[in-house]
Parts: sequence; C-alpha cells; structure tokens
Amino acid sequence: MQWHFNQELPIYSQLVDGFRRAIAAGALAPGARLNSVRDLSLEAGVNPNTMQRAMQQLEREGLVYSQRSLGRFVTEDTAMIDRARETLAAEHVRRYREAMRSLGFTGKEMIALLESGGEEEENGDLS
Amino acid sequence: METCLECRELGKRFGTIQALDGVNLTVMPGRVVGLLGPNGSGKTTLIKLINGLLTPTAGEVSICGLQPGKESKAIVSYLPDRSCLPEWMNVRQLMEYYADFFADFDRARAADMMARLSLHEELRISQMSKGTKEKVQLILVMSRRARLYLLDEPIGGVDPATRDYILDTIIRNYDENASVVISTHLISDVENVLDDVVFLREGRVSLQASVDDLREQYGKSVDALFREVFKC
Amino acid sequence: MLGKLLKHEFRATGRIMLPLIAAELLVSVLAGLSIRGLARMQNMSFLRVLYVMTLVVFGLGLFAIAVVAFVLMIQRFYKSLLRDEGYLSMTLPVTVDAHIWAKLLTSFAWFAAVGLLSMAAILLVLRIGTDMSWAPFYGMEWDESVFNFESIGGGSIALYVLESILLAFLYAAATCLHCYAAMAVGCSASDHKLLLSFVAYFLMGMALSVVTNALAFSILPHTDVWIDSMGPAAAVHTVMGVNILIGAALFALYYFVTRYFLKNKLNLA
Repeated sequence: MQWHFNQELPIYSQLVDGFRRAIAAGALAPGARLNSVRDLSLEAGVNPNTMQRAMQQLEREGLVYSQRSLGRFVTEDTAMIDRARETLAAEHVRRYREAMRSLGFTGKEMIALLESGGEEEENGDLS
Repeated sequence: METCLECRELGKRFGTIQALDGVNLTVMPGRVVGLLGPNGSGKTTLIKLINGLLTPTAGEVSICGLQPGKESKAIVSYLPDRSCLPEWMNVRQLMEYYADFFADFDRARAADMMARLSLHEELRISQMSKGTKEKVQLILVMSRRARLYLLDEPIGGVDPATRDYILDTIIRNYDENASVVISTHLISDVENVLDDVVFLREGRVSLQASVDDLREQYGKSVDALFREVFKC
Repeated sequence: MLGKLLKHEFRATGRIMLPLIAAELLVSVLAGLSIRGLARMQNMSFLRVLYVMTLVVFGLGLFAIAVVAFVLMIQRFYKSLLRDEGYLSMTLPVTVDAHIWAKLLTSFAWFAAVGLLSMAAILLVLRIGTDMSWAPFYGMEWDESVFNFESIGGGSIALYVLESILLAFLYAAATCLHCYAAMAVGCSASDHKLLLSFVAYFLMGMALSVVTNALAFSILPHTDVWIDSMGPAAAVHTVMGVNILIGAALFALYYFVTRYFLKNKLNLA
C-alpha cells in the first residue's frame, strides 16, 4: 500500500482510514492475511505503536481479526465489508453535496451533471 | 512497568551558563520519543547526562533503575552527533570492538546490515564518505539489543535517501522492551516515527505530549506547532 | 574488561610500533654490515658515505622510536578518551580506572619493548659488525669489587636492585600520569583545551616541586644526626625508601586527579 499522510491529522486515524478504504475497495481481499505490525509500519514509515493502535481499532470495528500465532486477517464477513463500503460512499456523497451546494447547484442539477459530465472526470479523484 | 528512563529535577551548569534546569522526564518501554528544540536548547547536554558523558550539577538520572555508570552503559546504546569511530579501524575490527565490549551486540545482524550496504569487512573508516560513516555508526548502535537508544541528531545533514535508510533502520529494529530517544531540530522528517515529543526550550521542558494528541488538539503538524512555539 | 581494553589498545598502538621495531632491527643488521664495510676500506667513496649514513639512521632510529613511544602515550590518551573517539570509549561499560590502567600498562609495555629493542639492536650491531660473540660479557674477567658492596657498607644486592626497579617504575608511571592528569584537567574546560592542558601540566609540576622542596628544606637539616647514626647500607636504603615513598605519593596524587576529572568533569567538545 502507498501511504501519503496529511501532516495536520493524527497518523493513527489516517492509518485506520486507509485500511478501511483498502478493505472496502477490495484492495485487501476478504480473508487476506495482513503483514506483521513491524512490516506494515516499515511500509508506511510510521511508528509501530501507532500501527498497532490502528490495528486494534480495526479489530474493534470488526474489519480485521487476529488469530493467535497465525497473524491478522481481513474479515471474511462480506456483509460487514459492504457496510463499510456504503458508509464510505455515503461520506463521499455528503461531501459532494456540500461542495456542489456551496457552488449553488440544486439536487437535480447535481444528478444531471454526474450523468453527463461524469465521463470527463472518470479518472478524477473525488476524495 | 519499570521505566526505561527517568530524569528528576535534572540540571547542568557550565560555569555561569545554565544549560539544563529542572528537567523532569519519564520514558516508558516501547516508546519512541523525539527530543525537539532549537540549537542550544540543551538536547545534546541532556543526552550526555543520560549516557554518563557529563555529570549533573543538580537532580538525577535513572536508566532502568540504574544511575549512569558502568552498569547503565551496558544497556544504553548511544549514537553521537558526530563520527566517533577510530579512523584506522576497518568494518570487521569495529564489529569485533563492539562485540567485545557490549554483551548485547548482535554481530550477525550487524554483519547482515553491513553486507546489504555492500560494506566490505576490510573497508577502513578513513576510506568512507561522511554519509557512509553515519550509516555504519547507526548500524553498530542499532545492532545492540539495548534497553535505551539515544540517537543524537541522527538525520542532521544527511541526504534524503540516507535519512530514509536511518528512519527505516530505527523502525526495523523496534523492540517493545526498549525505548528510543531521538534528538533533532528537523521535526517534519521524524514526526511519523515518534510516539511522543518533548520540546526543550532554553534548558527546560516546555511541552511533553503524544504526536497524535497534539495533531488532534491543534489540527496541525508537530513541526508547524514547533515553529509557532519557537517563533523568533 | 581491562583485558579487552588492553587488547584493543595494543592493536591501536602495535600497528605503529611493531613496523618501527621491525624496521629498526633491519637497520641494525645493515649497520653491523656497515661497520664491517668501513673497517675494510681506506679511501673516501660513495659507499663510505652510505655506511656512515646507515649508522646515523641506526642511532637516530633508536632515539626516534623512544620518542614515538612517548608521543603515543600522550596521543592515545588524548585522542581516544578526550576527543571525538571519547564519545565511544567513554560510553563503553568500563570503569574509568580500567581506562587509565589500560593506557598506562600499554605505554609501559612499549617503553619496556623500546628498552629491550635498544639492547637487542646494539648487540646485533656488535655481533655483525665486530667479532664479538653473542654474549659479549660472557667469560669476561669482572673486577670483583663491582659486586663488593662493602664499599657502601654491605647489604643485599637483591634489595638494591628491587628498590631501583621500583623507583624507576614509580617515577615513569608518575611521569605518564602527570601528562594524563594535565590532559584530564585541561580538557574539562569548554575552550582552549590543549592550551589549558599545558598550563595544568606546568602548574601541577611546579606546585609539587614547591611542596617537595619545602618539605626537603624543612626536614633535611634535622636528619643529619639521624642519618649519621646509621650504617652506610641503612642510610642508602633509607634514602631509597624515602624516594620510593615520594614516587608513590606522586603516582597516587596524579592518578586520583586523572580519575576524578575523567569521572566527574568530563566535557567532550
């Protein structure tokens, strides 16, 4: 995984966010084994304690689970992954709405724009 | 849990100059602590008091319950802010030197890390570039299984690739029973690997907090916060 | 840990001293051959100049090695404990005492080596250059009176030898420690470390000579009667004994100054 951190936000919450996204998008497949905390923190270039804390948060959320001696895995509960995906989508929609409203667009115009002008922005990054 | 490092009302005076004054500091095992402050704020003095290169004029230091001395030096791994390796030694002799004096030196690990950098065992320190010397010194220091690592300006004046190598090595050798204290004035480079930061200002601790708490509380990076606190 | 310090100290100094010693032994052989060559030739020639030069190199070489051993004594202490290398050596899990003894014993070993080298080199020159046998004194007719201590009132030869050796060792060690103490004191300052080391050296030397002279002048005049009442042997032993005591006192004093400053006043730049 490639990491780009926003220096103004806590690293811990950005890590949780990043993994949540990767799991929701399927970049981390259901049931996939995660690397050790040490390796994950090396990849991200962050403190291992912070990575550990992020993992514990994801465990609490149920997106990952750990099996003693075997390591940590992405949940196989696809319903839960879908819910995470929907929550993220809802967040994106909310932000889109807010941004468009501030530009003076109505709900219908937004939908129309999405349908017509969407192609040009296909590769754009909405986040 | 036993602390890895504890400073109580620690002070150091050089003649009429009060370099450190009333420093209280506790570092628990497994923590990576950034010792931050502008030049002359007392970072190096504090580190030298902890590793026994200086004797305090007030207060005390305890490393895993030990006063600075022969026993504490056996469990403290120290990276000075300069090259201190005997120039005439080669890589093999240096590793032998470390293995002879430090029971916790993992020679196989050091040899492996040297080999990764293609540093031949017969290569002399005097033949190395400044950056290579710094890497060799870091490898020796991080190849010890110490309880407390004191890294004084490990990334000062190195190129970005070397900086990444150094930070990588620190994370790679992370040990939950040991603490790491990194002093630096280049905060943005090390922010992500730190648990806590300690701001030193004119010989006093002006702030001690966790990096994520600070970001949460102030909505800005520690580096930005630092610039604000120490604005001239 | 002293053993390990000594091992690395010998490694650091041996790389300089051993080649020099080997070179001097080689020059001794050449010097011996030169003497033979000189004995055979009458006229001035290039070869003659070369022979003479070899002898000069031989003599200067011995002197130079002694100087190097002395300079190394000072330089090893200064460089490895009080300069950048001190950041490593003074954070080793080793006591300050072990550091001082490692430097002192290594220097002593090289002083002894230089002494032995001088004897060996001169013997080598004589053996090769003249018809002298390996043991030049073997079978010589000694004047019996040399070993006749009656002239100084008798007494044990072994004791005189022992006292002389002890005296030599103590004063040599005190000389080394005088240098060490001066550097330890001078380098405890933040600036002008080298200059202050010299100042400390001379001040300590002067202070101690004032004290010893004052003691000598105040005590000696009253000891005449006492000394006269002894036999000659007892008098010599007493003088030797007093000198040994003074040497030991100097040794202890310089040792503790060095130790105190390295332990409590260390201030690496």
